[in-house]
Amino acid sequence: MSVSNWQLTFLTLSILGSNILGVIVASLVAILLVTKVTGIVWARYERKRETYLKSLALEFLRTGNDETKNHLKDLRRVDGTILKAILLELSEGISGIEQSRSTELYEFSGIADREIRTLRRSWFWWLRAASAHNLGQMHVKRGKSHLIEALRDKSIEVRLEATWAIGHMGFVDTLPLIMESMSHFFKMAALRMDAFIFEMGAPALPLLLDLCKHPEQEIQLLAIHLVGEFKDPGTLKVLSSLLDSQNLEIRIAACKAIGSIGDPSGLSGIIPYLEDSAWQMRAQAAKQFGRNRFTPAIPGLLKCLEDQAWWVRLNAGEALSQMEEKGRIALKEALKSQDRFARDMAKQWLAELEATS
Amino acid sequence: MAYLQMGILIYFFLANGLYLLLFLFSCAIIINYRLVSRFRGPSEILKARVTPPISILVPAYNEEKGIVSSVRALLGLNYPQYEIIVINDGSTDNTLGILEKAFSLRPTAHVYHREIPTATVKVVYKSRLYANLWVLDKENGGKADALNAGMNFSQYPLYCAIDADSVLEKDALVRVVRPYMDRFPEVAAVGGIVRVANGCRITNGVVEEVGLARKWLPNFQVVEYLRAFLSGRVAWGAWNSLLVISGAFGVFKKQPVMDIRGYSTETVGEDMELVVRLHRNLRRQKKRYHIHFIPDPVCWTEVPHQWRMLARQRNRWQRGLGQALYRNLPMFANPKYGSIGMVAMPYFFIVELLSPAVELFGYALFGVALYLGVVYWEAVVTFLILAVWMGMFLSLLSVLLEEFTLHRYPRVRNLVKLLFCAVLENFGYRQVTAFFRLKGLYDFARKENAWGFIERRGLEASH
Repeated sequence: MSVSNWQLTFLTLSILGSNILGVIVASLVAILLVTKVTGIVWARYERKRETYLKSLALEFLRTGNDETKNHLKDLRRVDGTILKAILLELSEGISGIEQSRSTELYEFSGIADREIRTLRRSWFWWLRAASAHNLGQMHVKRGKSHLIEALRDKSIEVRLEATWAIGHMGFVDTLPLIMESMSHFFKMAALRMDAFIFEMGAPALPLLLDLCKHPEQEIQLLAIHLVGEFKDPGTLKVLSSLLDSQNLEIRIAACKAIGSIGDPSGLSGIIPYLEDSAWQMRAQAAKQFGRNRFTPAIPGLLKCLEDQAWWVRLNAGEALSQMEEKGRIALKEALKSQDRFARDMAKQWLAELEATS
Repeated sequence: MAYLQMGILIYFFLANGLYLLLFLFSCAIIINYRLVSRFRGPSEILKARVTPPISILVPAYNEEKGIVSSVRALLGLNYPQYEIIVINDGSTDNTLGILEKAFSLRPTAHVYHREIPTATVKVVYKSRLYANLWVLDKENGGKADALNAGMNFSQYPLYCAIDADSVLEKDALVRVVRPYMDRFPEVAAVGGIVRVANGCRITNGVVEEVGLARKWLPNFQVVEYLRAFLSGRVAWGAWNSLLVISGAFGVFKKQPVMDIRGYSTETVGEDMELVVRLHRNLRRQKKRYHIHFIPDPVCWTEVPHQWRMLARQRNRWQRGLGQALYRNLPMFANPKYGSIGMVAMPYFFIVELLSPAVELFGYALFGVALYLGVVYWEAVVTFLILAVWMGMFLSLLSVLLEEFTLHRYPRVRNLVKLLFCAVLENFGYRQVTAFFRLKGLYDFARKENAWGFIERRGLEASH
């Protein structure tokens, strides 16, 4: 191709490209305008209908009157959407008979069926997730089997919402399925599980203790954390056995859980770990003693002030500073230590105590 | 001459094609992010007992105008457990005095542990009013050195590095920590969006009203920031090939950063250099990790309001980019480093580093070609129109994406102004910044390493 030819080709392509870009930009701006206008129109319509539908819904929740309910049958799709939003909002602050009436209305108006259909069939994960959440919030118990199925959904959001819904409706028997489906999302799962587990209460503990020895580290860590949150001294035997695990993360998690429980027998069991080979474990043990003001650990903590690892020295000093008079005496004693690092740390925490007292 | 012209054209289409590709990916990712946000609100994370505590590091050098409002904003953050460590890096103004007075600081006997070598820390102060506020007063060593000192002192597993002239939104930490909540062991760092504070009404360190500045210069930068953060970084983050987390706002896991001895004090682009080195070390160790970018958590920062200041900033950024790439040259086109070595590094080298040179050279070349009559003037004009269209197109798309998804500028007036800026920046602003960057490239080649002082007016005065 000669220079002139490629320039001409380029000229044509450039004009074409420019036009295409122009059309796209113009279309996007048009879409923006249409969206804005539609939004304004919808907001107006919604405000108008909401007043009417809300008054009917509130009257039904108060009286349970069938005549009122019949007014909410066979609503147009847009009104159905508005009613759904109203019922979801109202359901947040009610309980007892009002709650069952709101569920009844949800079922009666056909919204529950639509939600189940969406949960089962929708291509879009966010619609499935919203349906799972709504079914739980509205206590649609017949949705249980579909929610259990949703625990295997490929989207984590759907699984999380299904978990929440199942927990909210109190189906205790589903715990193993939930743990299995969520274990890979440690903190997020722990967050959702916390609420769920505490609603279930003591019946969940034996299962959690079994999961503390699960072959998968993530499930183990999650279970140890949840056991610690129960603060039940009966779990100390299992947790103490994990202090000798091969895996440092498990050992640290167990140490933290024992600290969370705060029982003296458990704390005595972690005194030897102030001399553990891993500094992270020594530092963690020191922290738990401070948190629980566990004075029998003072001799060990004094030794830790001479530790090679700075974090261990820091945590030991802080722990002593949290132990009131006995800790203060120990820190003063450390000022006479042969070790310069121990003296420095003691000085630091004594100054801190003085400044804050 | 013809081959040079063809080279420039190929470069143009390649660069813009890549921009467009990145943008399309970003669109999908941002829409997905917004949908996920509907199901994971900040309130849930706030209530959690498993939220990882964060140390916020605020390096401050001569920041007397804005430091108090920045720290106040940090003290008001919604987050369960965090500490703030302000590092006064040998300021010659009254930064320390202002902090002492505003937060009733007292000197402590705290032992400073120098795990990463830094300049001497003279005194460690603690606030009498806020138990989680510390101030390290150290000898001047530069921003990287100050961050290293803050890291040495911090006690939590995550740290957030922010600029002293920036303000974080109340829920910024709760939102940015989300990837850590999903998969804590695998997440090495998370970056968040930085936005332009000029024109916003900020009171006591809180952005009360989002707006645009009266001057055009900061507003051009608003569009530029939108383009950079909403398209480039989002896509690179999703591919685990993000090479830069802005120094103004990023949350890092401390241990991997300590393992590489913290920030390098020998570059002016310490933020980018750190991220590239993190990739390098973690990939060399064959660890499973991810460096994320979240399109939502917002940090507001003051941008240069004068051309002179903008020139210094862009010069420094370009030098920083050059240094980060040069210092990690063994990664370049090296399959051992996966997508970082084979895609991200070449992209940043060819498109980001060389673009000002190619762009300005292109203008000159077409001028000469026209003068010599070896090119049709119609072809040159059409090409220039296409170039401008392409620039406008990408900027407009970014503004529209922001409006459709994040919607931080509530007023229609602001949106219209931004759309205008997206058009107007192509007539002068982009060419001038390309020149500043070219000068930066030249200074990089000369091994110029000065930081370049940028005058601040203070966030609360910037509107």
